[in-house]
Amino acid sequence: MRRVMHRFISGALICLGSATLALSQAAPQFECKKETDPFFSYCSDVNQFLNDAAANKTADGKVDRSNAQVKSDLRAFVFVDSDPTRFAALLAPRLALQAAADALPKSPDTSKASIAALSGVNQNRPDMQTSPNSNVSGTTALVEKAGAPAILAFALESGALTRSVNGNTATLSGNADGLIRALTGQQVLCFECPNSLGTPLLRDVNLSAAFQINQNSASSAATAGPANPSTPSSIANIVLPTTVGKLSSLTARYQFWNPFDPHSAKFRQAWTNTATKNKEKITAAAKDLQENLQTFLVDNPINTDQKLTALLQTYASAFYDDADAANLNKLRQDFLDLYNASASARTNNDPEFSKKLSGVALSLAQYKNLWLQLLEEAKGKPLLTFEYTYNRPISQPETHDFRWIFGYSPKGNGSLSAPGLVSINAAVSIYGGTIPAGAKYGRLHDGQISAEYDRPITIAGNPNQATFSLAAYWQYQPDPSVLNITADNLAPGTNIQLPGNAQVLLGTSGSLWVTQAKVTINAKSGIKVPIAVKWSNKTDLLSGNKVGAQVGISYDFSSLSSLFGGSGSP
Amino acid sequence: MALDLTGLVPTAEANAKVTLKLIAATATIQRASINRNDISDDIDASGKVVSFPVPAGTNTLTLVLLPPPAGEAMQLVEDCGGGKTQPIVSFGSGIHASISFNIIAS
Repeated sequence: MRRVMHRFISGALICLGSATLALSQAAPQFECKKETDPFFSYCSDVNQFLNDAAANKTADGKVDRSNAQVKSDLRAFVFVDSDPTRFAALLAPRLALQAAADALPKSPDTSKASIAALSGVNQNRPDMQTSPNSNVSGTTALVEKAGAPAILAFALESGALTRSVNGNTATLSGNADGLIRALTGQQVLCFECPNSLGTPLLRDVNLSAAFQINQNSASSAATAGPANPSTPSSIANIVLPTTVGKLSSLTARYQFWNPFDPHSAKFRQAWTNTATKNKEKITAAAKDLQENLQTFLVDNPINTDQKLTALLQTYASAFYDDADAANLNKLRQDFLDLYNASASARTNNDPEFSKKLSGVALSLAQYKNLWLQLLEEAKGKPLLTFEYTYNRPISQPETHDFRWIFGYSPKGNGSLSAPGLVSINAAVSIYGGTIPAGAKYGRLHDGQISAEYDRPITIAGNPNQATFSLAAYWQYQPDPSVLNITADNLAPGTNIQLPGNAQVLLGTSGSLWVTQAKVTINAKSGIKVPIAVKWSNKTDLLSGNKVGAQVGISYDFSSLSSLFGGSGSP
Repeated sequence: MALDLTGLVPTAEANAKVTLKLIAATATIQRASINRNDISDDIDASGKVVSFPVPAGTNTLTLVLLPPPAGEAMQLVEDCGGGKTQPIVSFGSGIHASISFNIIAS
């Protein structure tokens, strides 16, 4: 970086012919990691200004205010919109909800080509897991994928794969770091975000919760006596049918990545190759961002506001004074005052400011989503994903599932340009809680191995409109399945006193095979609709072949991350 | 040199031709516009240089970049020709997706 700086300074001296006195002098510096936004986002620019200011002083020891390099450093933060996407990302949390509501109907784009390209960027991610695992009663996912949404995704799915009882499941899943940022009002559209709570670790942690909805249930209730003479007085209790929503499973997963050095020649080459391969997608997303930036910046009354121009000049002088005095606290405060004044001036001078800002934020969210995918592709797929799931199936003992997930692109290096994706799962499931004394089953519930191949398919000329998947699943159970006996699952009219832990064995031990064919339609703006059919040699509780269908809908809120003020960090 | 960088806001003579150069290890210019006019076709093959004439009045130059995979120092300079440059705006180590500044031409 020193060499780059030296080149910058030399270039400036040559072009302007300025007689600046360059002095080597230790410059005061901010410890940027300890700063918070908005100052954090400009901190390295301010440090560069301080460095160059210290190195370019006049004979009286003051900063050379005519030095071209120092002045160019100053422009990076005196004009808080020198990088307008940075400025928009910082402002997005402030205006997020109103702005998104204003712009949703027509943002981020309207052209057919752009819609097609952007939908490909954001929706065609066969490596993204938004469904619950195969062991819940409403899911379309026989095999789990290694990827996860950057902030939050919601899925509603119906149809069982390994279970005997069909159900409907609602699943919320998201990245731990993205969720914390969104929920605490921090900017998440940033490309280089300040650390939040444990960010480096949380970036690779994904969480999800699945809820069974509209599940039939029953509860016992004491009667207040017969209502007419024909009713026997012996009926003291009845079973009330109900429907309930219930937490079905909680999942935490951690992605292990190949170690990589972003500054190494090897990684830079991989980055260049990835960018070249995805040139069309980058161009489409950049064009969308460009159009929204033009709306945001061009012909803005702020550009000719003389009061603001004078204010900027005043603060520029203040920054020089602060650098002369080496007063970092005052410099930070001066910047924050300038930032707030600049933000207010833009808000007050333009009645459509929030609408324009939301347009930038939405297209920036799309652009950052693409950038993250490029980064993943250049890094290589996650080496391995480890997942733990706490399962609470209806009327069955709880289980703890441990799963290893591996993703591989046979003829490509990632999810963007690869012709397909192979996902392989290996899992072990054990019963939780205490195994009753004398139980005819052991701690191990089952072991599973499964694999899936996903291939993007073209519909109506759009190569990102859908994904076709074929999956196979094998599960081995050493014992038949266990069913808890409660009043819910006693035959009507049965009057048996049950112990609290009454259980029966159902189904058979041995192998359970499932195969599935699935088409996932990738609709606009993060919506996916998976439709699948499956065949299994049996289900968890019943013997005999079963053919079934699964359908669902999921929404990845990461592509509309400005709703939260912003997307996950790299 | 077409730009006068004496003040905070760059100035130029109307219709002067400006050549901008991005000095950055990895970041490249993907799109460029002066006001609402797209000048992306004038970005060179390396993605580092773009040239355009400056119309009279207050003009807004907007560049959309492909952000680098990791933070890097970046500088936008005017290429004055003959290997000479003058710095317009300089960023410390960071990841940037865009650059914008105004040019007043008269």
